[in-house]
Amino acid sequence: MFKSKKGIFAFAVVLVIMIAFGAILVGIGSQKKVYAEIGGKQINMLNAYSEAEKTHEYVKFSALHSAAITAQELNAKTGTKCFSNVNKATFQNKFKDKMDLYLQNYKSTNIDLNVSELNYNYEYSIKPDKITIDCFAQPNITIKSRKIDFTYSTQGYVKAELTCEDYTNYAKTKSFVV
Amino acid sequence: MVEFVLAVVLLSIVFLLVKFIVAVPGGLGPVKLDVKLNATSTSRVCSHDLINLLRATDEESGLEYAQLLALDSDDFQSKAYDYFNDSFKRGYITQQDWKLIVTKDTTPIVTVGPLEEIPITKSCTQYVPSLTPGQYYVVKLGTEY
Repeated sequence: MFKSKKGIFAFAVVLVIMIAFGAILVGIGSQKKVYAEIGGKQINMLNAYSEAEKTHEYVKFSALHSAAITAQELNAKTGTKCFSNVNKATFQNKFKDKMDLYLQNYKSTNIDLNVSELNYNYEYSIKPDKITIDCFAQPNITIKSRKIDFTYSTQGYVKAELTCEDYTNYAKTKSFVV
Repeated sequence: MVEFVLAVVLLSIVFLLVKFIVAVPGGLGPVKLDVKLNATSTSRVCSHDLINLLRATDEESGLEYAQLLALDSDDFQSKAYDYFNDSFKRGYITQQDWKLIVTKDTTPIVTVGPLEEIPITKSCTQYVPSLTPGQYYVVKLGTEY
């Protein structure tokens, strides 16, 4: 078949080149698959922010309920100056006791996140027509991710205002008797 | 001798070319990229809708829905359905499939929404304090959008 060494050599070169080009064509034709998961850290961070919002809402509504129930216990009546007979010192103690019950054992709604223990200080303003309570988290609320190394800290300030109109709205419902 | 050198050079070029093709990520052909969003079962849209529902004010009572739930769960049930449908529409054609379940001590007290059950993959939860200090409702919303 081959009459000389040169012929064999040339054939071998051509064969190798054809194999190489064949490999190139196979490489071009084949489709590779790449799989990737993205966004895990970002989702955790956004969820931590949402968790802080939910915690603030829980504290706010706890404070409103505590204020209304305490006012009811101190014989506040409905009307324009419904809190006129509410004693501030007595209100403070009763209010804090209720808030402690609401806040103890509060936990995250998201299993991937951990909310720090809630502890608040309060500043009170009691007027005949309005009770205002400024709630300050001490220390800040801290939300840690259980999945990634991430911690979100927020000041945890909540303002709860209970007006006589709000108190009347509470009194209108079947669960709240004044 | 010249032919030998030429052959070696040619073979080396071919060899390097093949190595290059193998080393290129994905090759020279099309690459199918399969990307998965690494999310938890908590839906961002769900969390947003739920927190806004509970913050919204009921016009009749003047209370926010979270307060209404604690004070009158029956009233909450009847009003939550209309409010959710009116406020969180997703267009005429898009199905607004959702389910809201409120439990207290694992007992369901409010169930609202057209879905049969809460989707596992798109749900969110929020706690709402009850009128009894230390107790709370677990409000869980599930959405198909």
